[in-house]
Amino acid sequence: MTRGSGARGAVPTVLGRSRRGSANADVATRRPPGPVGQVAALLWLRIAALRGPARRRVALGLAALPALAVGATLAGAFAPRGRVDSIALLMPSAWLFFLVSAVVAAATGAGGRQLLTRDQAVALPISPAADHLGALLLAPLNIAWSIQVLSLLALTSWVVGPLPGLWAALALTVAWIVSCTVVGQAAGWAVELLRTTAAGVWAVRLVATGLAAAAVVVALTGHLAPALDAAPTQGVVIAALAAAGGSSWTGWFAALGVLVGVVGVSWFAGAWLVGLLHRRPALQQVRGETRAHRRRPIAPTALRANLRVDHAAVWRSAPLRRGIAALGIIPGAAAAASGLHWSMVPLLPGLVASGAGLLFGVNAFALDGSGAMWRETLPGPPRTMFAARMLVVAEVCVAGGLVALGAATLREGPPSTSQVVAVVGALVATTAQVVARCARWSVDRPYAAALREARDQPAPPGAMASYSAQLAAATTATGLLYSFLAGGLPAATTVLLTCAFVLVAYRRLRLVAQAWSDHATRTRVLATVAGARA
Amino acid sequence: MSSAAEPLTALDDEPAVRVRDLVVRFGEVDAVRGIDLTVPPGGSVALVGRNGAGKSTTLRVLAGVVPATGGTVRVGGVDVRRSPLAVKRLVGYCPDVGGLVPRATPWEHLQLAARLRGLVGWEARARDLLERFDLGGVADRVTAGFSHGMGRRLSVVLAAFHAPRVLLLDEPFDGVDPLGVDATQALIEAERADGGAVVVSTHLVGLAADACEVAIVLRGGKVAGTAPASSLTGPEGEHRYRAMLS
Repeated sequence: MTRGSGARGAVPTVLGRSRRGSANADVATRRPPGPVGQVAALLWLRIAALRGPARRRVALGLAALPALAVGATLAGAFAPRGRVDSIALLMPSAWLFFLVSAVVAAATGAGGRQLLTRDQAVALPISPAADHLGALLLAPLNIAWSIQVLSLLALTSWVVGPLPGLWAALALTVAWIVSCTVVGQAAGWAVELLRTTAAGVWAVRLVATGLAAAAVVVALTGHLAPALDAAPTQGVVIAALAAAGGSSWTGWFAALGVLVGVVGVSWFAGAWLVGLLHRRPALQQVRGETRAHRRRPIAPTALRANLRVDHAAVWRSAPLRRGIAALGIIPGAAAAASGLHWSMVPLLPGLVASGAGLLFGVNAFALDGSGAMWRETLPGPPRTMFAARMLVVAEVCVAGGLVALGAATLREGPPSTSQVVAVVGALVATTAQVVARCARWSVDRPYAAALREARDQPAPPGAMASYSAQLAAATTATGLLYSFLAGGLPAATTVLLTCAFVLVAYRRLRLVAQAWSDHATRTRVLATVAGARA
Repeated sequence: MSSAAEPLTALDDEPAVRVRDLVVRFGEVDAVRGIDLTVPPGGSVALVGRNGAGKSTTLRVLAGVVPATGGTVRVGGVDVRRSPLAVKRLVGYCPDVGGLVPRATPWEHLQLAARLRGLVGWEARARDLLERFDLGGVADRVTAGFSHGMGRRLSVVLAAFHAPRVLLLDEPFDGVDPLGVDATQALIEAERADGGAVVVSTHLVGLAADACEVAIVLRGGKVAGTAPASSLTGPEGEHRYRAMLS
């Protein structure tokens, strides 16, 4: 759009009409941008909105993934090659797991992340294809996606070794990563579209439960290895390795052609599905917002009254409800299917707790939305509201962790005392870690976030990537520590260590609570999450 | 309805609201630059002015939500800076933006307010207010599904629910249908008749004149003029008002 110098001639407007004498007469239009141009404009807006350190953090974050990918490839290529033949047998399973997780991530995330929320983008002409492209571009901001991509690259280069043909295997690996991401995205849109139909929600639940049950049955009946051996990824992996070794290029070209075709078809299917989805009412959300809720007696204490409203904010939010269910069930089912040993089970609570933090804990006061300012006008010590909110974050961490642990331990025999203590300790320690970090982020860096629609997230995509990386690093390190402790160290050591974790987290929480008691700080946080001016 | 809250220590002969040289600064922005305001018990004042004039910020300071940078603010005889909690017990505040927890129902909002304000026997008044504002039928639905006008009406209900000594209404008429406007006007009248003070911030000068005796025109964070609210309506009044704004 350009503005003229002020001449009042009749200039065609976007509607092809002319307005003589109007101030708008100077406005000329040109061909609107396509999906790439629209996404570029949205990205520019996102980057322009960043200031100072935030912009530097995003630049570093964007540079980190390619740098890490190169590092993982080089490290894999030149790593010691002991047991490489036996590990190579796992490649098809690893590739298959990437496809499954790409589909699950897009399906549970209601299609994926968005450059602008629907509320923000409501007045902008953003096409379904641009929405689709934006979600694809933001896929790497998922820590699970990034770690798996790095693992696949490292695994491929390690199995092939520093051969001249390594590039061919890596090219096919990258093609697999791209195609899985695009297929997963399209599948995510399809699931979301199904959810908007009359019985769609139940249909999706039925299919998801059926698939999870089938996976567990296959695992429990000892058919997992034959099933994985029959996976179609075998052909792609063999083609990649054959080309890298210089023995055959036919399979490589064929696999690459198929993957490119899959990307093309999935891209158009995804854009078409988004178009359909944009025209559908969000039935689940509408039902939730128009149904009557049973009245309960007034809560006996101020803390319980605060908790009740906070529980409602979590359990009546479609994205949060879905996220909590996925958090508990998916890691648990995966662990059950793979027959996770007791010594590795302590890794699970941290995984779930960091996911729970990412659902809403990192911006916990956004649960109130625009009601945050009203709640601040109610009398009562600020720490009551703070305590209630952090309790809810902790509850979700613990609840998700217990579900995952319950599922994960189905196949294992009775644990030893040290293993039980280690698992419980991991649950407590990682929950404390996540709650303390979430409290600090919620007070230091609040964002206005509705958490109303299925794709809503508590913070912008860049911030979420940063949070997920930090939480994953912290909780994984803690999980590994407890995994080591589960190996047979005295339970008293584990208990003492857990107390130390809790004390550190408590101290951090106290510091944040002090900051929260400052009126100006509280006002800044609440006004931000309420979408008002502080 | 009765309150179990601690006894209020405000002096009876004090104005319900007394503001002297109020200054509010956000970073490098001076949102309010020296406002004086007095509202007696039973009195009503309208804050009018352009966007960014400092109306909402002034109300947030009175509600104890935003701390003042400078000046003196006493509400019901209580210093807002020293006892923001006591002030929150005295006032009822309808924020200009939303003001509702999206996934809580109106009834749950009222329950939370009743618990934190220490109210007992509040249910009848809550039902009455909800009916008067035509919200009785949606009292158990989450507010995320409400229209803008419904949300505004519920915010007014929540502000007036505990029969506050000072009622602060920020844009209570924005997007509200005529019946909702009538209900709000009647509520303001009743509040004043009970000795409560009312401060209304609005862009709708005509409605402000119906609700309030005095209008204070704010411009650039300062008081541009004070006049009987009714004198700012009609062609001449509008001309006078625009002159104060510019």
